[in-house]
Amino acid sequence: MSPATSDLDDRVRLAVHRSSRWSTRIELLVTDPTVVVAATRILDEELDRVEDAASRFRADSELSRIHRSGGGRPVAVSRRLAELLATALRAAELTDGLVDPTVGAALIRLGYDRDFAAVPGAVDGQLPEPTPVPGWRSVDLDAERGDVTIPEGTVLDLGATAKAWAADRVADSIASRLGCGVLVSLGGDLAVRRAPSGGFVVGVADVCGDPDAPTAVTLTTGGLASSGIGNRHWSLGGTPVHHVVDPRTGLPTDSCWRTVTVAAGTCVDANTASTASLVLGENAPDWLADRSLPARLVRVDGTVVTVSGWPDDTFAPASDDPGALPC
Amino acid sequence: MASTGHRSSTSRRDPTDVARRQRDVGLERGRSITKGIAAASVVAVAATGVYLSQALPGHSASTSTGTSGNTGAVTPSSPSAGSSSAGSSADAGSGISAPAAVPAPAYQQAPVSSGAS
Repeated sequence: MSPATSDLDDRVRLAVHRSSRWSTRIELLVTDPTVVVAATRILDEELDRVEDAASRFRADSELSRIHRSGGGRPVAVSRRLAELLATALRAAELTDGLVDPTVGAALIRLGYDRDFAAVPGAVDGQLPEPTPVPGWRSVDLDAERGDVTIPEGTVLDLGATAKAWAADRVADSIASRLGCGVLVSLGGDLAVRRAPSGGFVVGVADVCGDPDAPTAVTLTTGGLASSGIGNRHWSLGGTPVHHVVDPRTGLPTDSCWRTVTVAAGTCVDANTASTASLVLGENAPDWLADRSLPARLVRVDGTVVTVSGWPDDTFAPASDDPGALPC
Repeated sequence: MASTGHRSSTSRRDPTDVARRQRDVGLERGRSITKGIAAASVVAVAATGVYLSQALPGHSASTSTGTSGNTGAVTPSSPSAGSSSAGSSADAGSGISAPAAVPAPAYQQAPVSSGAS
């Protein structure tokens, strides 16, 4: 984990803690500066536990142990990993498989086989033939027995939903245990609890941490998440690829959107909807409107589409935060 | 005569005693019926409670070792898939939740931002 910084934000009177982890930007805002150290401890401990359970890149994680089992037989899981798996399967069910945790092997074939910071910009090889992923229905999670069975050769990737789940979990824990307002941002997937009057101000951009965010909104509760192809991308045998895989082809989604930002009741739900929208393509605005989810979608050409009451761009001034870290 | 009378008085049943016995028998029968009704009521209430604990959404009679504790209820997340018996916050039946409030426009610098990561 990289060094962290804590400071008091003069503009909104918030204590801010920033760090970097999982090749992404971690930000924690609390409305009571006296609890920032305790809140940071809660954050770090929870992220440690999620990583221990669900990291695809750490050989000693529970998830890696499941993969090493070879599949085809039940493997005992902890309560936390069972929750993370259940969250991923729920996201798959609610999106008819557009957000699917069995995309792990497809990501590996594309070259994303280690922490993203260590993935070279140019990977040798060639784009594989389109092949559907095994599919979430092939994962048999039995929470009562506390085990999971995956088909042979299946690799799970819980990255998206696990990060959002952690944001919700940390925000809940800090708000209830420390009794303050809190915003947790894990790579731009945000959870807000007990916001101050007027809410937390959040910039919305193509890339998390962009100081030139073209718009900003206030959040009072729930979650906000962005999915896009503008950050985690590389080339495979000279072909540009990115990390959002279409489960129907096992290849990077060829979306008409470059970024989708969604507000929802929780960060997990916001993340589920933003990722599904990216894969869904042109039908995403209707899909989001049917679910009353406010969203901002940016086409590849930069055109902005808003849904369900999302406000027009405000052209907020760029943040002059000198402590910006790479996502 | 006195002897006959005495014999006669001992062989005949005392009406008061007969009435008392009939009363006791009636009371005993009533008590049995009341006890039966009470026992049946207890069984019915217990059976109804067990049924409702399994039938109502959000309830569970399970004592899962998988997602108990912080998560509470354990319900199938995907009946059609048969793939998961984990539930709680991951219960698909609730659908994707809309926010309590639509984000409002802001015209000031933001200490954090959301975007692809």
